[in-house]
Amino acid sequence: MTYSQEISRDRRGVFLFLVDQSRSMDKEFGKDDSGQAVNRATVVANALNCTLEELVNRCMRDEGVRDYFDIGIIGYGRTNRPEFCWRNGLANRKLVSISEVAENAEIEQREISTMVRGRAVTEQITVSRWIEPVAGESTPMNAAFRLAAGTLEEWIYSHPTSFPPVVINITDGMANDVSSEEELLASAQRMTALKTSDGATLLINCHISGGNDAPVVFPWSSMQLPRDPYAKLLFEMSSELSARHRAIICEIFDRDPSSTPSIRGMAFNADAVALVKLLDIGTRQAFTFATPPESGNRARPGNSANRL
Amino acid sequence: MGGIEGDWTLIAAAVSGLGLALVSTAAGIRIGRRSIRDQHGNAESPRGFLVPDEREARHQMARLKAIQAAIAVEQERLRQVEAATGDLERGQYELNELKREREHCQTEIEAARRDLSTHNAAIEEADFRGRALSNTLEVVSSNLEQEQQVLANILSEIRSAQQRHTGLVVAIEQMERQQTDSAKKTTDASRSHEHAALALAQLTDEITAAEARHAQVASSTMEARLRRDELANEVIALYRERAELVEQVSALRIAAIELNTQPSIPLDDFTSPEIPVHPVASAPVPVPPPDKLLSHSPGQPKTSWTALAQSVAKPRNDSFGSGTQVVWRRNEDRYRLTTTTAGVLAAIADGAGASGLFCGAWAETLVNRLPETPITSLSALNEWLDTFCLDFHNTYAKQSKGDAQKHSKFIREGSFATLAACWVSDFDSKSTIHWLGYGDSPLLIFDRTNPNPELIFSHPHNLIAFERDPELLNWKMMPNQSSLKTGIVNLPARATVLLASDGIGQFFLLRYLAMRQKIELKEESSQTEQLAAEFRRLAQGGDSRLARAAKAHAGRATQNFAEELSACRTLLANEQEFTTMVAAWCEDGLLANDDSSLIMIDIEHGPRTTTTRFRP
Repeated sequence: MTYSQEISRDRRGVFLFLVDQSRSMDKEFGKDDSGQAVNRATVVANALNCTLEELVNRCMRDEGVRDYFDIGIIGYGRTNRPEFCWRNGLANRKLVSISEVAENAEIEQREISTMVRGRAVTEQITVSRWIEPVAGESTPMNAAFRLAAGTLEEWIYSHPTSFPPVVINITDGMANDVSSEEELLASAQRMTALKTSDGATLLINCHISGGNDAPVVFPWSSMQLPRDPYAKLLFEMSSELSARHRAIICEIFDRDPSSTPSIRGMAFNADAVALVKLLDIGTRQAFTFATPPESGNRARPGNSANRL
Repeated sequence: MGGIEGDWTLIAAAVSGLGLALVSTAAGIRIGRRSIRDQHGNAESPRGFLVPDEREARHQMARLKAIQAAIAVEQERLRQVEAATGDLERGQYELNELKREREHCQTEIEAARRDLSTHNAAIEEADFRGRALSNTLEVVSSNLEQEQQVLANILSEIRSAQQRHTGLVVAIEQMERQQTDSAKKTTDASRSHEHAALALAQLTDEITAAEARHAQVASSTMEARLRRDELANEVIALYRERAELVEQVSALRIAAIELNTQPSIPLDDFTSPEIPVHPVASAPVPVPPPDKLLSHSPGQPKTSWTALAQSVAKPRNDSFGSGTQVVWRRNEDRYRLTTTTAGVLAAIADGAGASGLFCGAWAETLVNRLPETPITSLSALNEWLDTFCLDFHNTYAKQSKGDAQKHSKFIREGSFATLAACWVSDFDSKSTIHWLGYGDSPLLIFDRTNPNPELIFSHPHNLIAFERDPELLNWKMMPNQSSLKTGIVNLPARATVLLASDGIGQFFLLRYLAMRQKIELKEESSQTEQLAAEFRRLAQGGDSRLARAAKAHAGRATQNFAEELSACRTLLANEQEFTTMVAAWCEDGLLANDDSSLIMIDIEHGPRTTTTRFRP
């Protein structure tokens, strides 16, 4: 139970994303590059597509894409029942290998400006997409947890010695398919009780709001949260992260590891920046860059990533 | 109180009698009569008594004083008793007051109980009314849901009807357009038919001519294929012949070492055995034929050097599923070993394939483009990179265009590799090394003047550097001054230079430091002392990958590093043996599972010692 298992093709990892698609996801959540207002669903879909693209990149070598991970995306709220929201060639699939994810991307041409030996150069590149923004009806988060637990139970049966599953839940509100907070907490705890030989399933919750309240990201105590019962509930539901994650978080957020005894995988009142950071850190086993490659030479993967 | 009063009366009487007696004594009366009263105050008949003398009077006076003191005490007690009696009376009064208050409270409690009964009755009535209202509300809600469902059905039917209507309108419009198009196409088709008939006649003529040309080309192709097969057979024969020669050369070299004579082997250029992953466009440096042994005996009879090199992919290599086939990951290390006008140039580049793309090709480009003269500054490094970075970018950007995701990754991240290079030059029978390091590919220099070699130089200069993220050269980025390490080392009369990729370079450094724990060496450099101290710390504690490797090496230390270097020479002479041994070291936990590239250069200015084989 050390969260230290190296990820390889034989001992692959799994990322399961749960995405709130309720009506409230249609609310404004900042502006895009052109200054146009964008809603929460759009920002979440963009962030998730970027995360998937980065995961594909990290598994890509000259020879092809190595199957280091299985990926799943459960959307809840488009209807009153949660469902895996792969499309096109992956429609009706649940967990999908990363090479298949790469093969089934929808490609979009884009022009970017990139630095080549200190000079800005305009290049044509492609951006991959897998999911589209949805803002539908209710928030059946409890049912989504149950669907995730069932899916992961099967996966763990096939991969009992792998790094444990990582579930990242992105939501903007409370579940409305439960009669009490305790019911939702129990569902989350049933899922996080699922274990491989390397540890229990990690649940990372990201509550987005876009309001004026300051975001709280990766708290180590519930005292850091606002006086909101839902914040406390999310804190209780969220997993205590591994030492590897803790080290990364302390480095990124400039925290003193010696005075940070533990860290919960959650964000409350997250804005777009906090959302991206949470996705980045939550999927860090696959990420090899401490800083973006354009920002410096120290761009080589760490020792653990070198062994991928 | 009665008892006290009685005592008090007795005492008073006694005191009174004594007082009279004393008064009589003072007046000098010896005998007298005196009437006394009993304790009840009744007069007593007089009787005679003996009058005391003066001494007796004094005694009586003393008794009187004692009795007066007792009276004072008893008076005090009496006052206290009177005070207590007063308190008792007040307490009795308060008790009575409290009793009256309790009776009042009990009256109030009874009144409150009566009120409570009244309120409970009211609550029960309200509860009953509430239940009745809830039932009514459920019935109303149920009716409302039914009505909403009916309403939703009606809306759904309306939408469906609207869609059907829209579909019908669109279909009618399409049919009208098709009718128009069909009429136009009929006219066009008749015209096209006439043109096609003419074109067909022309094509028939052209086909006849093409068939004639095809027959000629087929004949030429057949001849070319035959010639190509002949050439291929010749090439294969030449390769076989060269392989045999290489084996012979290796055998001769080993025999020469064992016979303590200098080998005489012709000069040649050698580079990595890996075929470039993708060809580099307009590369000015030709790719030399693959080989691994280089030796030199220059005009000066006292100086000679021998160089050996091998590069193998990591033992537990990665594979990729590609359709039904399995594709194996390629070795991303590249090395170059070549003669220069001044001596020899050796270089290793370790492609960091976990990030970026085409890192093997980038490593190949770096080593192949190295100039014959040393790079000694950041500006020189930048000028050198400027000569080929753009070409590399253009070539591989074009090549990856077919795979959009790969292309994007290449453009965004570039290609990463370390670079370690050394330029050995020989002037006036003294050899010097100019070296360059960017990243963690090690350069180790051993002094073999004494029987047991001594480490005189190491890059990186500490072990912890192997655990850090290395600095890497990328065609996209400007190199950093702090990451570039360069220098000059004057070589001793007999030296061995090891240039390696990080895993196997770290292996040899740990082998040496493990040996050094066993025996004391004289006059070691401060750098070596620091490395040895670091090794001790790692081997004694810690759970890092490096600490585990240090422990493994400490547990299998030998006392003769010369034997280990000798065994290394033997291994480097044979690719198969080198590959097998790398896998064995990796299996034993002595070597990381990584691509392994090693260049070994022996420089001699004097007589050699005999070497033996070694396997740790």
